[in-house]
Amino acid sequence: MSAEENKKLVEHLYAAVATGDYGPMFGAFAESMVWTIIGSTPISGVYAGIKEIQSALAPKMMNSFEEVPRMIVDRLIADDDHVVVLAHGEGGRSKNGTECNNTYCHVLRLEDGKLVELIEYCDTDLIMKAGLGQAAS
Amino acid sequence: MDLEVNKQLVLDFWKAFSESRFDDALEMVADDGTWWVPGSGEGAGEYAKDEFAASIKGIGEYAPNGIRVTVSVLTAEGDRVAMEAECYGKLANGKVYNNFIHVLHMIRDGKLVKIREYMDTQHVREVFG
Repeated sequence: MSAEENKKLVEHLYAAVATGDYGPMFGAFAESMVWTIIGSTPISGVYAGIKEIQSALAPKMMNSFEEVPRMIVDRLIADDDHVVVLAHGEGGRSKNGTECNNTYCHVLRLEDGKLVELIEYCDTDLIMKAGLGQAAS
Repeated sequence: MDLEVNKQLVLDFWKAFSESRFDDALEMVADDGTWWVPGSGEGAGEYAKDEFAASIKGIGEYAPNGIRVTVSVLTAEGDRVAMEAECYGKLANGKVYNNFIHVLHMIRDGKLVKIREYMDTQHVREVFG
Protein backbone atom coordinates (compact mmCIF):
# COMPACT_ATOMS: atom_id res chain seq x y z
CA MET A 1 0.00 0.00 0.00
CA SER A 2 1.12 3.56 -0.64
CA ALA A 3 1.90 6.07 2.09
CA GLU A 4 -1.37 7.84 1.28
CA GLU A 5 -3.36 4.59 1.56
CA ASN A 6 -1.66 3.78 4.86
CA LYS A 7 -2.50 7.25 6.13
CA LYS A 8 -6.18 6.87 5.18
CA LEU A 9 -6.36 3.50 6.94
CA VAL A 10 -4.75 4.89 10.10
CA GLU A 11 -7.04 7.93 10.01
CA HIS A 12 -10.03 5.58 9.87
CA LEU A 13 -8.74 3.42 12.75
CA TYR A 14 -8.05 6.37 15.05
CA ALA A 15 -11.40 7.98 14.23
CA ALA A 16 -13.01 4.85 15.65
CA VAL A 17 -10.68 4.90 18.68
CA ALA A 18 -11.75 8.49 19.34
CA THR A 19 -15.31 7.25 19.81
CA GLY A 20 -14.20 4.46 22.13
CA ASP A 21 -14.47 1.76 19.47
CA TYR A 22 -11.19 -0.19 19.52
CA GLY A 23 -12.52 -2.99 17.29
CA PRO A 24 -11.22 -1.69 13.95
CA MET A 25 -7.81 -0.96 15.52
CA PHE A 26 -7.43 -4.45 16.99
CA GLY A 27 -8.76 -5.90 13.74
CA ALA A 28 -5.98 -4.21 11.82
CA PHE A 29 -3.19 -5.74 13.93
CA ALA A 30 -1.03 -8.32 12.20
CA GLU A 31 -0.59 -11.54 14.22
CA SER A 32 3.01 -10.52 14.79
CA MET A 33 2.11 -6.98 15.89
CA VAL A 34 4.55 -5.50 18.43
CA TRP A 35 3.41 -2.62 20.66
CA THR A 36 6.13 -0.83 22.60
CA ILE A 37 5.47 1.75 25.30
CA ILE A 38 8.56 3.74 26.21
CA GLY A 39 10.00 4.07 29.67
CA SER A 40 9.99 1.98 32.83
CA THR A 41 6.45 2.53 34.11
CA PRO A 42 4.20 -0.43 35.02
CA ILE A 43 2.67 -0.29 31.55
CA SER A 44 5.96 0.27 29.71
CA GLY A 45 7.42 -2.59 27.77
CA VAL A 46 7.36 -4.56 24.57
CA TYR A 47 4.13 -6.48 23.93
CA ALA A 48 4.69 -8.96 21.13
CA GLY A 49 1.80 -10.54 19.32
CA ILE A 50 -1.95 -9.95 19.44
CA LYS A 51 -2.41 -12.43 22.31
CA GLU A 52 0.06 -10.62 24.57
CA ILE A 53 -1.42 -7.24 23.70
CA GLN A 54 -4.90 -8.48 24.54
CA SER A 55 -3.97 -10.45 27.65
CA ALA A 56 -1.24 -8.25 29.16
CA LEU A 57 -1.47 -4.70 27.90
CA ALA A 58 -5.18 -4.11 27.34
CA PRO A 59 -6.32 -5.15 30.88
CA LYS A 60 -3.56 -3.08 32.49
CA MET A 61 -4.71 -0.06 30.55
CA MET A 62 -8.45 -0.47 30.85
CA ASN A 63 -8.44 -1.46 34.54
CA SER A 64 -6.50 1.70 35.39
CA PHE A 65 -9.18 4.16 34.35
CA GLU A 66 -12.34 5.44 35.94
CA GLU A 67 -12.95 7.23 32.66
CA VAL A 68 -10.98 6.05 29.63
CA PRO A 69 -9.63 9.08 27.73
CA ARG A 70 -10.70 9.66 24.17
CA MET A 71 -7.65 9.82 21.91
CA ILE A 72 -7.97 12.78 19.56
CA VAL A 73 -5.64 12.94 16.57
CA ASP A 74 -3.87 16.25 16.02
CA ARG A 75 -1.74 15.33 13.04
CA LEU A 76 -0.73 12.42 10.81
CA ILE A 77 2.54 12.11 8.92
CA ALA A 78 2.98 9.33 6.38
CA ASP A 79 6.12 8.26 4.58
CA ASP A 80 6.67 4.90 2.88
CA ASP A 81 5.56 2.19 5.36
CA HIS A 82 5.44 4.50 8.42
CA VAL A 83 2.61 6.65 9.72
CA VAL A 84 3.22 8.91 12.70
CA VAL A 85 0.16 9.86 14.77
CA LEU A 86 0.32 12.87 17.07
CA ALA A 87 -2.61 12.92 19.47
CA HIS A 88 -3.88 13.96 22.86
CA GLY A 89 -6.31 12.51 25.35
CA GLU A 90 -9.55 14.10 26.55
CA GLY A 91 -11.89 13.24 29.39
CA GLY A 92 -9.61 10.70 31.05
CA ARG A 93 -9.49 10.03 34.77
CA SER A 94 -7.54 7.25 36.42
CA LYS A 95 -8.72 5.16 39.36
CA ASN A 96 -6.62 7.24 41.77
CA GLY A 97 -8.60 10.31 40.68
CA THR A 98 -5.92 11.91 38.52
CA GLU A 99 -6.98 13.64 35.34
CA CYS A 100 -5.08 11.60 32.81
CA ASN A 101 -5.03 13.18 29.39
CA ASN A 102 -1.70 12.36 27.89
CA THR A 103 0.06 13.65 24.81
CA TYR A 104 0.81 10.78 22.46
CA CYS A 105 3.07 10.10 19.58
CA HIS A 106 2.43 6.74 17.92
CA VAL A 107 4.95 5.62 15.34
CA LEU A 108 3.27 2.93 13.26
CA ARG A 109 4.74 0.59 10.70
CA LEU A 110 2.42 -1.16 8.27
CA GLU A 111 2.74 -4.10 5.95
CA ASP A 112 0.06 -4.99 3.40
CA GLY A 113 -2.61 -2.97 5.16
CA LYS A 114 -1.88 -4.39 8.63
CA LEU A 115 -0.21 -2.77 11.61
CA VAL A 116 2.99 -4.60 12.48
CA GLU A 117 4.63 -2.16 14.90
CA LEU A 118 3.49 0.61 17.20
CA ILE A 119 5.93 2.59 19.33
CA GLU A 120 4.12 4.78 21.84
CA TYR A 121 5.81 7.91 23.14
CA CYS A 122 3.91 9.61 25.94
CA ASP A 123 4.32 11.50 29.19
CA THR A 124 5.55 8.68 31.43
CA ASP A 125 5.65 10.97 34.44
CA LEU A 126 1.88 11.40 34.10
CA ILE A 127 1.46 7.61 33.87
CA MET A 128 3.18 7.28 37.24
CA LYS A 129 1.14 10.06 38.85
CA ALA A 130 -2.06 8.52 37.53
CA GLY A 131 -1.05 5.06 38.77
CA LEU A 132 -1.65 3.40 35.42
CA GLY A 133 -0.88 -0.29 35.43
CA GLN A 134 -0.94 -0.48 39.20
CA ALA A 135 -4.64 -1.19 39.64
CA ALA A 136 -4.37 -4.45 37.71
CA SER A 137 -1.23 -5.70 39.42
CA MET B 1 10.41 21.92 -0.10
CA ASP B 2 12.02 18.62 -1.03
CA LEU B 3 11.48 15.96 1.64
CA GLU B 4 15.09 14.84 1.46
CA VAL B 5 16.27 18.42 1.98
CA ASN B 6 14.02 18.69 5.03
CA LYS B 7 15.33 15.38 6.39
CA GLN B 8 18.91 16.55 5.89
CA LEU B 9 18.19 19.78 7.79
CA VAL B 10 16.95 17.70 10.73
CA LEU B 11 20.02 15.43 10.59
CA ASP B 12 22.33 18.47 10.42
CA PHE B 13 20.59 20.13 13.36
CA TRP B 14 20.93 17.10 15.63
CA LYS B 15 24.50 16.41 14.50
CA ALA B 16 25.45 19.94 15.52
CA PHE B 17 23.52 19.52 18.78
CA SER B 18 25.28 16.21 19.51
CA GLU B 19 28.67 17.80 18.90
CA SER B 20 27.76 20.71 21.22
CA ARG B 21 28.01 23.13 18.26
CA PHE B 22 24.99 24.97 19.57
CA ASP B 23 25.44 28.18 17.57
CA ASP B 24 25.51 26.09 14.38
CA ALA B 25 22.36 24.26 15.48
CA LEU B 26 20.54 27.48 16.37
CA GLU B 27 21.39 28.93 12.97
CA MET B 28 19.06 26.28 11.54
CA VAL B 29 16.12 27.54 13.63
CA ALA B 30 13.89 30.41 12.48
CA ASP B 31 13.87 33.51 14.69
CA ASP B 32 10.23 32.79 15.62
CA GLY B 33 10.93 29.10 16.16
CA THR B 34 9.50 27.34 19.23
CA TRP B 35 10.38 24.19 21.16
CA TRP B 36 7.74 22.24 23.10
CA VAL B 37 8.64 19.89 25.94
CA PRO B 38 5.92 17.53 27.27
CA GLY B 39 4.72 16.92 30.78
CA SER B 40 4.11 18.95 33.88
CA GLY B 41 7.55 18.84 35.46
CA GLU B 42 10.20 21.49 35.58
CA GLY B 43 11.19 22.30 32.01
CA ALA B 44 7.84 21.38 30.47
CA GLY B 45 6.18 23.92 28.22
CA GLU B 46 6.67 25.78 24.96
CA TYR B 47 9.69 28.03 24.61
CA ALA B 48 10.66 30.80 22.24
CA LYS B 49 14.01 30.63 20.49
CA ASP B 50 15.85 32.94 22.88
CA GLU B 51 14.56 30.87 25.81
CA PHE B 52 15.56 27.46 24.50
CA ALA B 53 18.81 28.83 23.08
CA ALA B 54 19.85 29.71 26.63
CA SER B 55 18.88 26.22 27.83
CA ILE B 56 20.77 24.48 25.06
CA LYS B 57 23.90 26.54 25.58
CA GLY B 58 23.77 25.58 29.25
CA ILE B 59 23.86 21.84 28.57
CA GLY B 60 27.59 21.70 29.34
CA GLU B 61 26.88 22.59 32.96
CA TYR B 62 25.08 19.32 33.65
CA ALA B 63 26.40 17.19 30.78
CA PRO B 64 30.06 18.16 30.37
CA ASN B 65 30.50 16.03 27.24
CA GLY B 66 27.14 17.03 25.80
CA ILE B 67 24.14 14.91 24.86
CA ARG B 68 24.54 12.63 21.86
CA VAL B 69 21.39 12.14 19.77
CA THR B 70 21.45 9.10 17.49
CA VAL B 71 18.73 9.17 14.87
CA SER B 72 17.07 5.87 13.95
CA VAL B 73 14.06 6.66 11.74
CA LEU B 74 12.88 9.77 9.89
CA THR B 75 9.33 10.06 8.53
CA ALA B 76 8.65 13.08 6.34
CA GLU B 77 5.56 14.53 4.68
CA GLY B 78 5.00 18.08 3.46
CA ASP B 79 6.68 20.52 5.81
CA ARG B 80 7.03 17.99 8.64
CA VAL B 81 9.76 15.59 9.65
CA ALA B 82 9.17 13.11 12.48
CA MET B 83 12.29 11.67 14.09
CA GLU B 84 12.92 8.71 16.37
CA ALA B 85 16.19 8.86 18.25
CA GLU B 86 18.21 7.78 21.28
CA CYS B 87 19.79 10.37 23.57
CA TYR B 88 22.85 9.56 25.64
CA GLY B 89 24.95 11.65 27.95
CA LYS B 90 26.97 11.21 31.14
CA LEU B 91 25.86 13.81 33.64
CA ALA B 92 27.88 15.83 36.10
CA ASN B 93 25.74 14.35 38.93
CA GLY B 94 27.06 10.87 38.08
CA LYS B 95 23.86 9.67 36.43
CA VAL B 96 23.39 8.70 32.80
CA TYR B 97 20.76 10.30 30.62
CA ASN B 98 19.58 7.70 28.13
CA ASN B 99 16.22 8.58 26.67
CA PHE B 100 14.34 7.37 23.62
CA ILE B 101 12.61 10.30 22.02
CA HIS B 102 10.38 11.27 19.18
CA VAL B 103 10.64 14.78 17.80
CA LEU B 104 8.29 16.43 15.34
CA HIS B 105 9.94 19.18 13.30
CA MET B 106 8.06 21.71 11.21
CA ILE B 107 10.08 23.46 8.55
CA ARG B 108 9.58 26.75 6.71
CA ASP B 109 11.94 28.25 4.15
CA GLY B 110 14.73 25.88 5.10
CA LYS B 111 14.56 26.61 8.82
CA LEU B 112 13.03 24.77 11.77
CA VAL B 113 9.96 26.65 13.05
CA LYS B 114 8.49 24.12 15.48
CA ILE B 115 10.23 21.43 17.48
CA ARG B 116 7.92 19.18 19.53
CA GLU B 117 9.67 16.62 21.68
CA TYR B 118 8.00 13.44 23.04
CA MET B 119 10.10 11.55 25.56
CA ASP B 120 10.23 9.47 28.73
CA THR B 121 9.50 12.26 31.20
CA GLN B 122 9.82 9.91 34.18
CA HIS B 123 13.45 9.22 33.19
CA VAL B 124 14.09 12.96 32.95
CA ARG B 125 12.76 13.41 36.48
CA GLU B 126 14.87 10.50 37.75
CA VAL B 127 18.21 11.61 36.33
CA PHE B 128 17.87 15.38 36.58
CA GLY B 129 15.90 15.36 39.82
